[in-house]
Amino acid sequence: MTLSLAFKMAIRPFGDSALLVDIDAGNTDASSDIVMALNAQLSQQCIRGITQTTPSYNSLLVSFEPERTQHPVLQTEIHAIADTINVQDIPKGNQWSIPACFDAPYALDCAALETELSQDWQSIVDCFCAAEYRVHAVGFLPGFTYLGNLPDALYCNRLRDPRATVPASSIAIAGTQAGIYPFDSPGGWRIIGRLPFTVFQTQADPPALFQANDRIRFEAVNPEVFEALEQRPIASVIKQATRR
Amino acid sequence: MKLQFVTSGLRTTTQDLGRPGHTHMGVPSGGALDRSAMRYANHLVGNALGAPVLEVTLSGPHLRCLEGGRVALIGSGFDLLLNGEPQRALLPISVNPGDELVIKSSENGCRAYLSVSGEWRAERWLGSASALRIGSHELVPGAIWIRGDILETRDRSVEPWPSTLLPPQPPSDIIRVSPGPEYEWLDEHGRAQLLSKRIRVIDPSNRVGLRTNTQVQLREDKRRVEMVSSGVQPGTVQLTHGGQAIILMRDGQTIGGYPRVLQCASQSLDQLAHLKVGDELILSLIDS
Repeated sequence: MTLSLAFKMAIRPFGDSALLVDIDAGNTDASSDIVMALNAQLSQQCIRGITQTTPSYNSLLVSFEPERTQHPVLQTEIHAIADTINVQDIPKGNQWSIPACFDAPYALDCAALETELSQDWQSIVDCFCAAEYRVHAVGFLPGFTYLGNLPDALYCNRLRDPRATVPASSIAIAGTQAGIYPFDSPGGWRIIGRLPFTVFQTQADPPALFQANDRIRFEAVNPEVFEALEQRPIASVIKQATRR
Repeated sequence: MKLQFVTSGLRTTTQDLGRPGHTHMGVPSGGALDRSAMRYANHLVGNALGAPVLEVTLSGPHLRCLEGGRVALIGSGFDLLLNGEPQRALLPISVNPGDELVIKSSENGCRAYLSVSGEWRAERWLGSASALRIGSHELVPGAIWIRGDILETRDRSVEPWPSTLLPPQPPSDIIRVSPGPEYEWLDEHGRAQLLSKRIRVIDPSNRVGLRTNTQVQLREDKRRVEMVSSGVQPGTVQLTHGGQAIILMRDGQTIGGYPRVLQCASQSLDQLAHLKVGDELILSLIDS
């Protein structure tokens, strides 16, 4: 059994103090695995001059201090690390099972989606909850959680006119993606439910509950249970395990 | 030193070097928009160059001194008045109890930085005292200054040291840029619409991003391409589907799905701090 990984990598300068690493391993999940493995190795090896890395789907943004390293040096170092990564370097991530309510008043786009997807609400919710989602990135806003693996049957368009305010902890879908809003914020994704807790708390360590490469399953609860869960500490509401 | 806010100004916040290292959670590195102004203001009062300062936006605060010390203001288009008297620029000012300080904007000012001598007792989050607002949510409430607040620092009698640090250059409207990852998505026509011509900053523009009055078309074959979200940085110039160029600022998003056609040079980021709605700028490609 070989432990090495097959993928294509392209590194290019992105301004005077960052490099963009693009990975193509054939599909999004495989590319995401390589990005996460490379990201983990970069932080473990404490490469001189790197200030931060931003993984997202099939790319890794590597920011550095131009006073301490340079594009060509860093490119060589990243290539050297990429040559040595193997399947064991792919971070395991956490496995989450979380309750969510998909009833009114939390499912703001319930009626519109029933029409658009030609399905009744119960089957839409069942379909959504049957899938396991992969966290592909945490970003855009602090704690905004991008989820992949949305079932094809739930493909829908974004709103033509984004809402001025999407409530914090809303679960949303758009195109082939799902997402969780950390704060009240404007947004154009379709809102299908809500979590009974916040996914980003400045005083928590780390502040973002979910991290790239985690896996999430949703468990539908009724509004009475949801309201009770809202009052409870988060640790007692969610189930967490290390994967494999 | 102890200063009380008689008025706060439009938006006066604590800022320092920000909190790099957290973009994987979506937290921007943030910090003072004009780093050289922040450093020089701190230098003038004998503070560490990356110590917190007050960042003033458009209209400045009125402060009353309760305990004496030194302050310094750096910011084009703003004057520092001590008991009504304009003070000379680029010098530290000694302030005594009872003195009144007013940061007054003249017609062109957008941002100014006031250093306050001594060690700040600032609330820190992820290693930084910098304010961060997400939508209407303040993530570091202690970094927002309102009327009646008292800013207190612990005195350390450090005199400004002789240094080779030069005063910041006056802001320029020429922003140096290099090609971004999707630069090739622009054809000659698109490049001509965006580069080397005067473009205007429009509303809403803030610490998250500067919007511009541009209408730039992507190459025909790229107009309907949905990008996979990927990393962006302060100074990234994104092009929306409507053809509007948005220059991301230090509190901007960490990943984005719009084409990143240009990237501002690090040294030009400080200049962006001084551009307000209605101002014009020129994006100028660095010869490579």
